Amino acid sequence: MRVSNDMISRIFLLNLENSVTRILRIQERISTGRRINRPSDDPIGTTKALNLRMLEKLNEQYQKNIEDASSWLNFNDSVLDDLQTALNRAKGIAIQGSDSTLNTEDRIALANETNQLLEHIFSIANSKFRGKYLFSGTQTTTPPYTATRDGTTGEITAVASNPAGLDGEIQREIGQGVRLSINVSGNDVFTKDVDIFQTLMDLRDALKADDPGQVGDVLDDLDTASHQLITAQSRIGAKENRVEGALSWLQDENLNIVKLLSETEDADFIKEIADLEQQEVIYQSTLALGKRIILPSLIDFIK
Amino acid sequence: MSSLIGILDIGKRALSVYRLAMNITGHNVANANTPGFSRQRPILATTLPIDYNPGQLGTGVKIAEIQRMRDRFLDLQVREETSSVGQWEKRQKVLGEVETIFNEPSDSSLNNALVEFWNSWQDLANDPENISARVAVREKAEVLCNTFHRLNSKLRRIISDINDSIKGEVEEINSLAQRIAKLNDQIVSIESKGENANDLRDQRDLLIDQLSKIANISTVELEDGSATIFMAGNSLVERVNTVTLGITFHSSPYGVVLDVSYGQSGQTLNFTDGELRGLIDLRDKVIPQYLENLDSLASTLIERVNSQHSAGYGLDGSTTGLDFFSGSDALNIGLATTIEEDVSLIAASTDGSPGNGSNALAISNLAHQLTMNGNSATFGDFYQSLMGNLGILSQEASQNYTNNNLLLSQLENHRQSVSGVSLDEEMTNMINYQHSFEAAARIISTVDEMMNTIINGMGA
Repeated sequence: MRVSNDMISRIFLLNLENSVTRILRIQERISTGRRINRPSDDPIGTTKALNLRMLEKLNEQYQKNIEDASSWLNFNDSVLDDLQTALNRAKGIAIQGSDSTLNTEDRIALANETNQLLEHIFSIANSKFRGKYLFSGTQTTTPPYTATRDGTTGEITAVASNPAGLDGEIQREIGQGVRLSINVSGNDVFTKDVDIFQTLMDLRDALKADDPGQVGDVLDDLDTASHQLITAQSRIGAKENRVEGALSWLQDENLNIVKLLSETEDADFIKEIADLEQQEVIYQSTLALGKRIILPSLIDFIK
Repeated sequence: MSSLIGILDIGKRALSVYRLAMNITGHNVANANTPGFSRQRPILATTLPIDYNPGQLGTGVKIAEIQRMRDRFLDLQVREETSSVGQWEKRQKVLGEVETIFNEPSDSSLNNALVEFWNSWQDLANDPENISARVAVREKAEVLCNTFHRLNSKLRRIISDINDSIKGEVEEINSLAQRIAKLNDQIVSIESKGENANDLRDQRDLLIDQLSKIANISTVELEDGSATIFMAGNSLVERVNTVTLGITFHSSPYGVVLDVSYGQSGQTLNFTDGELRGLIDLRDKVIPQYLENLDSLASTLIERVNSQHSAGYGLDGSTTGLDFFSGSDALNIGLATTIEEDVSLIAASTDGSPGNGSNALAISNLAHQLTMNGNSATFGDFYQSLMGNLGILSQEASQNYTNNNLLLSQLENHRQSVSGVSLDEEMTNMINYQHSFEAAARIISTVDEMMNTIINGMGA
């Protein structure tokens, strides 16, 4: 085939351009660390990668929700432990106070201690976690319990719960379409089978009245209160387990998603560098060959 | 006549022929790099012999013709392929721009803005009493709206850029047509004298090549040497006359768009290949597809979020029935002013109580509902497959462009093989002609000596 000078340089340039283009593409993949830098690099891979990225973020959000739920549940748990301790002390006081050998002054002292316990239990009932009332259902900005107090002594004479109700469920999403209510209603803890406030007030008043028989009557109520509390605590325990299980599952899921995403999107460095070296050799050879073809011509030899 | 003077004539003619041949060689060498240049070569022939004893006696050499080395069929193929390259080059370029606009996969794109929007509602559900979670919802929603706006406006910008390009192409066509017509005039007048208008033909062919990149053309050469050019089926250049292409407008959902119109008739031209075909297709079919899909995504999002949002209650426990988004498509999607001014009105609660975030959860769950494509795909599915589709189109354009370019390159090589200047070849010819010139000069000087012998040596 007849070859013209223009052809020689044009073919040379075309090959050089192709070689450089390939090198540039490899460099892009190496510097971004990704083999998909635009949809046309791998259309199906792009669709997959976009979906995985979305799933990864949703997964992270569920984990965040679970952390929030866990904190609430843990705090709730320790508050109820506190309450259990108080109830146990109340039981101790009741047993002491029902002893007929006790004298009046001692009973008065016990009555005062009981009043302190009542105040403590009342403030437990209005516990707040991050500014939200723990036992108020979804009425988290309203205290669940309000106390009526005696004008002269300041002692609590009655405890009423929020008329709007304490049973609302605070829900957290711990997985796609999976919701968990993380709260326990004040009703279930303080007033379900027996009204703990009333029981404590009864105990205090019985001790003040110096009536050991009356004090003894309160013991049954205190037992029921303890069981009521244990039931509530075990509900919280069950939720904590559920949430822990969900977290562990999500973390595994996350690992899978991240692995799949990496397989889809990431560049294989070893392959890219090997390719780069090969392309560089091709590029250099093309240049060297070009020099041999482009430079000499008949003119050099005709003198 | 076989006199010595006759032989001188042979020498003289040879000198002039080889001088001319050298001229042609010099012309070729000088134009080795001129775009569109076809090498020329002298066609040598013997001059008319005379009757003599013992037979026909030759009278020397002449240049019968200066031939232009050109393959018309190759020109045809190159032009067809150039049109294809023009079309796919534009497609590849614009689709590449579209990919850059969407910028997927990345963290600063619609896919990301969407999922962060959904997640912000979950954060709100975790903390509905708090203003900061509400502010975050507003912020993520604003990012989402801005992303829609940006995509929409950049795609529209491409449409307007294409319109500008089309205007430029039309001007270019008209300018090329004028120049071709002028060359037709010159070529016809030269060839009517029986000479080859080689360099002018080269220029004309180059202009026609340039024309073929812009749109599909066909060429017919008439007997007088003029070229008639048809573009999109209508005659553009006929001898020295041209038809001027113009611009007309029509309106489209995305603004006013330009059409290429034919001369006085104002009839719109339809191109089947070339840059214009690529540009018009992109502007009228491809880009609008993406604009429509974005609008569809935005409007469904607005509708479904608003519907769920108005069923819920704000922080005050009593405000309900409010829209979250304002607007109706990707261009005007925004936050409802009431919400923008007071984030406490964001309806996280299903029953008015402040700790209830279930409405916010319901809104975030819209991400998993089949809301698009006739209730068969989620928002995410819809957008993600749109991107996959973009990838396929762009990939196809790149591959077609590469393939067509390769083909064009090979055809160009063939053309060069026929018409291109080889300096080595010209050097060889040059040596040849030089020797022949020297030999012819030698004949003249020898004859001169012979004449000297006769004139001065014979007789007294």
